[in-house]
Amino acid sequence: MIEILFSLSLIAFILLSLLSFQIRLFNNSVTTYYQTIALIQLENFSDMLLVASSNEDQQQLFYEWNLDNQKLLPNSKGNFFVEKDHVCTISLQWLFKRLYQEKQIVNC
Amino acid sequence: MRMIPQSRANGFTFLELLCVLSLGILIFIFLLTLISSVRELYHRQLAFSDLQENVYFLSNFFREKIQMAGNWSCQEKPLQYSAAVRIFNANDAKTQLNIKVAPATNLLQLSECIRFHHKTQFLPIYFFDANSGRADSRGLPIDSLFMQIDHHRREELISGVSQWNVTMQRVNNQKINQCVVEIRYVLTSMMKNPLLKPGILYVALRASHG
Repeated sequence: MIEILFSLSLIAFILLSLLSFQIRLFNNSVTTYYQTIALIQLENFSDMLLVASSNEDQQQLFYEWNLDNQKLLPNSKGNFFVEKDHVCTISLQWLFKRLYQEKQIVNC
Repeated sequence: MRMIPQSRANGFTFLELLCVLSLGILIFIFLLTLISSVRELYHRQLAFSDLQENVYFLSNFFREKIQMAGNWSCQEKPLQYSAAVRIFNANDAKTQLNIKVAPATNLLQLSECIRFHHKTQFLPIYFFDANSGRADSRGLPIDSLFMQIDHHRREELISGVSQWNVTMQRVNNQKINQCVVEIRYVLTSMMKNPLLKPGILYVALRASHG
C-alpha cells in the first residue's frame, strides 16, 4: 500500500515540475508575442514620423501611437527623442512580470 | 517472549486502510488537476504562438506589399497614382467588384506588376475579410483574410482575421506626395481556447513611384 502511495507522490512531483516548466514556457511565449507587437509598433511609429512634417504633427501622432500602445501592450509607454537633425530614437516600454524595452533609431 | 497475534502481523487495520485510501484519492485528484492544468497551459501557449506567427506574417507581408504598390516596371507608361492603392467598403466591393466581404470591413486593393501565369502583368490584388465557410469548435463561423488577384479565385491568407478596417490618407509633405495606409484588425487564434488580440499596421509610402 505504501509503495502505491509513494509512486503516486513521485508521479505528482514529476507532473508538478512539468507544470512549472510549462508555466515558464507559456510566459516565454507571451513575452515573445509582446516583443513582436512592440517591434511592429516601433516600425509603425517610424512610418508615422516619415509622414509628420511639423513638430505639432509629430506630437499628435506620438499621442495617437501611445493610445494604440496601451491597447496592444500591458502597461506600456512609448517615447521619442530627437537625437540630431532628422534622427530620432524611439523606444517602447511595457510591463509583463518585469519591465521590457525595445528601442530603434529612425529617420524623422 | 510475547507473541503477536497472527491477524495483526500479516494485515492492515481498517483505520490504516481508510487513511491510505483517502490519501491515495487525494493524490489522484491532485494528479488529475495537474494533468488538466498542463494541457490547458499547453493549449494557451499554442494559441499565443499561433497569434505571434500570424501577427508577424501580417506585418511583414503587408508592409512589403503596400510599399510595392504602384510598381509599374512592367508597363511602358507610369500609371495614375490613384490606381496603386484603393479602399472599398463592403457595399462598394459588392457592387463595383462583385466581391462579398464581411459587413463593416474594408477591401484593400493594391495594384502592381506581379508575375502571374508565367507573365509579368500589372494587376490589382484585393485583400479582404470574408466568411471562410468553416466553423470553429463552438460552431461559430470563422472569418479569414483572403487575397484575390484580379478576377481569379480567392485564396485564404490567414484564418481567424476579423474587423479588417483599412483607412488611407494622402499627405503633402514638403512637396513629396505621401500615402499612409492604416490597417486595424482583430486576430483570433484557431486553437482550443480562442484568444482575441487586436492588431494595428501603419505603412507610409511615397507616391512618386506610382
